[in-house]
Amino acid sequence: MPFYPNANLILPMTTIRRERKLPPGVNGLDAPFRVDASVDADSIVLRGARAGDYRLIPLHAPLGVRRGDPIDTAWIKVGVNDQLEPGRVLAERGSGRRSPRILAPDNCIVRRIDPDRLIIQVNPEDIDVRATFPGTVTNVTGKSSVQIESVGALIQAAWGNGKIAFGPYREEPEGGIQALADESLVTSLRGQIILLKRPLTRQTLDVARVQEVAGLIAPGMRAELRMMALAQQMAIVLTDGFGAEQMSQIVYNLLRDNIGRPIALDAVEPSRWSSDRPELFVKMPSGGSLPPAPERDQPLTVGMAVRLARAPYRGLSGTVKRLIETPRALDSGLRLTGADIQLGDGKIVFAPIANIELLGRAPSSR
Amino acid sequence: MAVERNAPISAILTADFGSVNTRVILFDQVAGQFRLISRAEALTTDAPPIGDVTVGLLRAVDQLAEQTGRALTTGGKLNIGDKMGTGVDLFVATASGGRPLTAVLVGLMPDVSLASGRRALGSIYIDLVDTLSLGDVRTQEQQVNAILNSHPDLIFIVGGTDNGAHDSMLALLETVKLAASLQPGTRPVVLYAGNEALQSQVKDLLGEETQVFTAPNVRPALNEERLGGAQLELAMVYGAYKASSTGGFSEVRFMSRLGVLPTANSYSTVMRYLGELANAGAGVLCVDVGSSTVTICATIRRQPFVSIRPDLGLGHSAVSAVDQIGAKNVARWLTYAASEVEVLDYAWNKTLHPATVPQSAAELEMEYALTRELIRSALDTAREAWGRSERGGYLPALRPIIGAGAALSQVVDPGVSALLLLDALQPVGVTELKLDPYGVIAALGGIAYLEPRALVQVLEAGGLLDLGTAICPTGHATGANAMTVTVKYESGRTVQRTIARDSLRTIELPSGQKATVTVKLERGLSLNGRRNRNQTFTVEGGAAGIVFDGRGRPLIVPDDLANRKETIPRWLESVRAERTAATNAPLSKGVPVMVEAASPVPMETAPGVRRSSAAARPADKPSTRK
Repeated sequence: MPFYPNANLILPMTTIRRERKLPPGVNGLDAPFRVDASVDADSIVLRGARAGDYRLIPLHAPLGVRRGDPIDTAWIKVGVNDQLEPGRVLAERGSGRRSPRILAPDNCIVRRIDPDRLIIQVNPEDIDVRATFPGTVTNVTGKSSVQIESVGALIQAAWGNGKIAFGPYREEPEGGIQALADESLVTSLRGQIILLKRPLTRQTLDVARVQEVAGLIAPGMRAELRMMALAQQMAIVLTDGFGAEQMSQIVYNLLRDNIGRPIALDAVEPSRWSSDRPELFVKMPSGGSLPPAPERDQPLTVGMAVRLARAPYRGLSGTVKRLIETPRALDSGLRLTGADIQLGDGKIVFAPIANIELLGRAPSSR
Repeated sequence: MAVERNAPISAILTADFGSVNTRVILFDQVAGQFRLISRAEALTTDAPPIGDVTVGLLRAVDQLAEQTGRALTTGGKLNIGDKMGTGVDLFVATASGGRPLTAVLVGLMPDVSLASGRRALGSIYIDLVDTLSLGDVRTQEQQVNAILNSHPDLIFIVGGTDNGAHDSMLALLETVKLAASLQPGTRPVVLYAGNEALQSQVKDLLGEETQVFTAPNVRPALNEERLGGAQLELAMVYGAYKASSTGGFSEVRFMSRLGVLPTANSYSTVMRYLGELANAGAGVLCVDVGSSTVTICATIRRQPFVSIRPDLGLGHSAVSAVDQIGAKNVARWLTYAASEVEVLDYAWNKTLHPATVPQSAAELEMEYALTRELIRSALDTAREAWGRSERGGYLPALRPIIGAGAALSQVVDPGVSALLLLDALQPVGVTELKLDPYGVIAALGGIAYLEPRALVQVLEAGGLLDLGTAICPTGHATGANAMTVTVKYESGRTVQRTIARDSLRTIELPSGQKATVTVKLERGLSLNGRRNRNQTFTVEGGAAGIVFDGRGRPLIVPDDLANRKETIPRWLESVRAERTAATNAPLSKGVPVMVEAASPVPMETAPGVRRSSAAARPADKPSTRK
């Protein structure tokens, strides 16, 4: 009986396609790139505007008309959907300098003209959507959606602080980046993305902020630092989760192998209602043909590369040796079906199905 | 609910779409009686890259087909109403997972109509984002912006007794109309359940802007509350919302005779039925601990109550749950030193990986700690609506209390399930405890609208797992012992035990058997309002047996770690020890197979039926969390 575990993609070479969309409630204004155009990670691929609050502007009192008396339509100086700057006349009774008038309070759009009021929407907010990784535009849908394709190494992470960063990355020095608090070394980290071997601490965050680091990749941090991390300008990605002491070997090896190349950090903060995941992406030359896209919805089979999600094997990766359909006791005492997993050091451990994550490639396609 | 009755119904397939798992159950008639035949589950596939719940549904149904040998699907579709008799006659779907319906509540008086409106909304999975009332000090402009910025799917309007308030209600309706007219994109649906004299005006006024549904007034008189009609309409609105908002639900809605019902609605139906039974005592209660929500559904003095806490859960909602209940309250159940930050780390990782299960003993302990506190917090909310409470604020003697959800049913021992319920709910008196390890309540509540016999017959045939009976005195014993108990079995055998102070003890009494229990309380304790007297009563057995809780009420959990390290393992051990010693096979009878069963055991009981719940429990696949 097939089981379909969740997937957490960790692939040294794959083709990724990501759709970039305007957030709900934002009106699309522009999609600057056409199909086949190349984009950088920080390219703005969609522009939009989120309209602000509505204002209900009564007409009678400001124009000196008794309540119940009609408003002459000629007094209304604007039309529906007019975009106005502050101070523009919305309505005016008469034409003299002292004639009663109503002025636009802010930048606004006229939404409705009722017999007794105007309804305007003020202060639209500009919204830009960036590519977040370098690639090629493969589809454009109106002014609200763009698909970008690229080839390279992909790592899906556990958590991000909602920022993006792109650039070359390096490993932290042996003593950690705290050791670089020396002023003379400040320029060496500015604008860089740093791979941390240890959990992110308050001190590390402080040093990284002062040194204007562009991004941090860490195995984990304590949940109490979340708000502080969210407030940073730099992008922060946790590869393994909260409280994680060390980075999964498979993730660390992949990142270490690509040091020096530019990396894109799309540090999306996972949300309950969004499928977007924080991702690390290292663009590679495709060599002419596209490598296979990730295979995410696969039944668990012998030979698959997997990672384990819960203690005591959290973050360890290995290969499925055998599917166990007879419930087996865990250390916790629960009895569940699962699989024997051969870890990197050769040791075979049992993990329940629910704690197994696929890495994105079926054995036959590796 | 008006339901069309067609051909006789025999085979029924149900699906309950949870946040993590989609559970399917096959019921059929065996010797003229509805029985649970088999069940299965698969991960819910509402999120990308699949984004279609029917994929997970078919995976689960394929497991059922393999277990039962029935052709439940044809060409990737459910085989419903197949005249050849190979498929099922009826399919019913319920859902609790996915994004809740965003709602704005509009009413007149906060303590009257709005309170009733909130309780009615408590029966579906909603995110209540704003409330408008007469007491609202915001301007109309601010109210309109508040509605628009919250992008509601539903505006639920209550207020006014029948033929009561008129003008104040119309003023609120004008605001709703203005907001609806300005809403870009999909406009919110309006459900009106206020002053019935205004129904036609409401339809005329708001019908120009959006879809308007009406239901009977939730508060027809100041001292009268009627939630049933509004809750039923809310269930329909929820089903329509699921169909329009989540991939695959439109197909499910088409296949399911009743559309997609909220799971909590099913709970409510079953609790109403159980509450009508003669032995219901003060009422019945079911608590379902899920990944995203904790639902408490009760019938108290024959009045139904449903309370859903979308901020409490063991997976998706674990972080918000810890925020609500406090990490310190979770840590007070642990036998190892865990800082509040470590509890929060655990919660965050559960939220990021909601389908995972605790693999180490320490993590299982954390899961149990969270479960206790989630239930406690959800109960506090639920009880606000129940009105009159028992003396001392204790939970009244409910029969039964039912636990549902993987956290309660996927445990190492049925005694542990019983202990978790006792710790969290702290019932007093004599209480029957049951579990719903197969998810039948969600299924039967939906079926009941079409084939009520199935509800009755499946429950009578043991669709729920009997955990046993708990005997829980109030107060605290002042001496070394709490009580001396004598259990007289139907066979005539008698067992006598002394239960020490601050301890529990179980005495074996298998499911389906009864025994006469005599309790002699020590000083400081009382049972059913009586102290220091021999009390004799008849109790029902179950997988955990009879649980004598000598810890008293309110339950005192040691503050200091050293004391907890001794106490909590002792409590856990004591709910397992007696039965283990007595039978040496604690999970051999009447215990969920879900944690034990290897593979389906073919058992021919009727043509076309390979398993019968009457003879053997369903072969559960080991499962992930709901």
